[in-house]
Amino acid sequence: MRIYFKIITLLFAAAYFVSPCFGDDIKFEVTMNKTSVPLGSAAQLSLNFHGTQNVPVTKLPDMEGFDWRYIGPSTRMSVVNGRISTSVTHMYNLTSVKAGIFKIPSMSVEYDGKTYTSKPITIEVTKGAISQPAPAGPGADAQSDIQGLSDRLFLVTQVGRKQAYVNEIITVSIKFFINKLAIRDIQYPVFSHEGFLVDEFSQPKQYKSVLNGVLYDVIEFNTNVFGMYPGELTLGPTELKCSLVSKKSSRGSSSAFDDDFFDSDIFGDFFGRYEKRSISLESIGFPINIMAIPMEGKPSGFDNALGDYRFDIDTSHKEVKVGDPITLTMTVRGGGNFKTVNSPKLNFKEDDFKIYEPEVKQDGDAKIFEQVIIPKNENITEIPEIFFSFFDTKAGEYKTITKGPVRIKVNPLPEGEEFKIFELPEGISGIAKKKEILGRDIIFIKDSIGGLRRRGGFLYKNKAFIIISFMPIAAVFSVFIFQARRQRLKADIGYARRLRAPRKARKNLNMLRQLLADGEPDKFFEFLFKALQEYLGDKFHLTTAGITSNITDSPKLSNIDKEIVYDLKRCFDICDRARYAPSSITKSEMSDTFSLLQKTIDRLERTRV
Amino acid sequence: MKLKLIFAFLTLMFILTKPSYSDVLNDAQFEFSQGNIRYSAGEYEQAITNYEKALSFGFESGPLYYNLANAYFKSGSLGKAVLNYIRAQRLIPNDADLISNLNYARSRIKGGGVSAQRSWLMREFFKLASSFSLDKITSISFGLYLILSVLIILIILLKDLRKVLTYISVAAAVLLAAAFSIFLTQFNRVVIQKEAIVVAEAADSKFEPLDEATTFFSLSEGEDVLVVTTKAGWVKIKRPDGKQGWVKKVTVEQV
Repeated sequence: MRIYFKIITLLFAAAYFVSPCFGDDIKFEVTMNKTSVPLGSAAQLSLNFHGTQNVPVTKLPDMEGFDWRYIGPSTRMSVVNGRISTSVTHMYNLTSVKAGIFKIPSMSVEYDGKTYTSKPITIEVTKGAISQPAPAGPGADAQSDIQGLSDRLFLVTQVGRKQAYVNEIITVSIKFFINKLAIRDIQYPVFSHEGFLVDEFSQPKQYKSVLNGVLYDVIEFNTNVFGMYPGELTLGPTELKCSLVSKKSSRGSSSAFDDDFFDSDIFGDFFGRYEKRSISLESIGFPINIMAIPMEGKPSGFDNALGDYRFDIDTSHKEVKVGDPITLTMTVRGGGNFKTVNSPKLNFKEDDFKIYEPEVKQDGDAKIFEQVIIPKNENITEIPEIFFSFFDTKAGEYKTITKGPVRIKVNPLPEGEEFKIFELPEGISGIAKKKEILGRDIIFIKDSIGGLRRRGGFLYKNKAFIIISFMPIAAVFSVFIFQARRQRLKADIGYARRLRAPRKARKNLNMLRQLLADGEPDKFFEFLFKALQEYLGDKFHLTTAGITSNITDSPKLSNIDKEIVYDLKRCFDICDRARYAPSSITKSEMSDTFSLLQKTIDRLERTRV
Repeated sequence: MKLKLIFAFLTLMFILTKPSYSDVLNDAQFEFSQGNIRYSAGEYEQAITNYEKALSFGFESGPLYYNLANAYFKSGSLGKAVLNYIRAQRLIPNDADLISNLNYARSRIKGGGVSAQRSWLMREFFKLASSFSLDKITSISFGLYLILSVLIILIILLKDLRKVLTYISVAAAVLLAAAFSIFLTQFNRVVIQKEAIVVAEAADSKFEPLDEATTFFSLSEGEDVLVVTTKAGWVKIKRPDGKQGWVKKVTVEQV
């Protein structure tokens, strides 16, 4: 009995904790799985009730262009942190019977004494293939189409305004809608912007959104553009590149693309069941009217600031001495294109203040100019008025805000101290120069073809160049050898005489040939003797006058071939005979002696001494 | 006698029908000008045809390669553009327009490409070397060699000035050594090494020269590689970081 009681108590406790929270609000929405269907095809309409599962089946009203049929209910219950949420979806099949654009009217369901109403949905029934979807919504100007997936994947570009002043901020929002598709490698969108300056994209946002009753994952890219000159300019078309992941085989699957956004089937990828396909979505461009700022009523101090601003000034010191710096902080706060906001011009007297370049800071919706000014004399009592003018784009008129004068006290310099103003070097002064953004592209072609040469005809391959290249080194060697020889000729007399010997011998032989022809034996032999003396004297570096037939016994001739030495001795003997008994010498003997001398000298020249 | 006459006639015909050197230059110049007209009209494909025809005469020039590269760039062929900029760089390495365009084209390479890891000194040396064309550094080296030879001759002949001339000769010898080093570097780059550029949109470098081989790394259009060897429709390439692999021959083109 006690056990039964415990069990019943536990069941009650469980029932208490698990029972639905009927105190929750009931939400009702109507969604469709498609926004465009071909004629004769069906789409699914869902009536979703969140917070209850007890709503009965609702009879749909008659709808133009569609026949409807109830499919059945689908209930869902989830427990999160002990809290239960429930829902029921009643699903209907809508079969299109007529082409055109139709509206699913708003539906009202009465439950538990309350009436719940849904929003109407627009659906297009096409005659042929699925056309581009027409997502409603403000600023939806352009969209792109991927064949057969146009209602599940498209791009929507929205602009903040269709008409703006030059340099006025125009917000651009590019939304990438994805319905149950696996998308990877999404790149930043690019759009044509001739005549516009474009800011960098901010961090993209990702969220879910219901459009025409269909739930989409949305990636939103935001940026600002500014018209650079007046006129009817066109922004766009916009292009976005990404990869679509699809199943390789669609067997057993309703669609090769059915998948959840960013879902990753690691096993599918691993076994290669999925494939990536690069796709590009494009939207058309749209015109924006850029207006010039009116010239009427332009204040003299206006420096192109556009927007709606407040202006304040503050000073770092109220009492200083001559030459001390005062930091004048000028803050421009509000909404508009801060790029057009420049530091207000200070029209102070040159004799009163030294003014440095301001340091510029951007802090959220405020632009701060910190301006260092130095009072030059003690007669200054105030910082004069400062004006800030801007063009209010909302009101369409110029406005000027005046601040100051600010009272200050400037004390004179102590005695002996001299007033000096230092020019701060650039970079230290905190001058925030606007960085110039330069465009980049290739530089234009060249007009002249330049020096044409044979392809691959390098200089080092040129035969003439190769030959010429050897000349300097040959010249160096030649000069070196020449100089060395010259030096030796100077230093070594024996070597010089030996070199001279054959030349002199040749000359003497020519003379002897002449004497032989004259037929004068005494002169011939006298000269022959002398020539022999000279030759041997030079050849063996001996005193010429003392050379006689005895030279053949000289040790200097010891290395000479005996036959040559013998011939030399014969020459000397004949000369001696001719001197003492000239009548015994015949003409043929003269000729033989000449030949003998010539032969002997020749052989001696060939002999290494 | 008859044969001699026929031979003489044929020789004469050959001389008369062979286009002269100046005719060929004029034709190349004409195609270059036509290419410029096409380029200015935004007809980049036709401009490429004209520039390529100018090159087909067997002559080349820095501006011709430069203009061809520009046309390829404008027609969307980044690889071919980089290839022809590099060819132009070998002839007019210090042309400011060329340097700017080559840098810009390289900045468009997907993934930025891979660069060689070198020490600061080597980087500076290669930078200096690449500012000389092979012909220019050949001329400079030859000029210095000539000067050094003359100085040595003077040292041999002029005893009195030997000391001063020796100092000048040492300076000339150092300059010659530096110039010759640059010459060898450029010679190695232009003649010995087979530099190539990826001309396909992307090229997979594989471990083996087979379609089904595993991909080692991927190359983007416009990247520099060195050709190591070739084999039946495949090229073994080396990336600047030293990684080697096989790519299909059609995906790369030698400079």
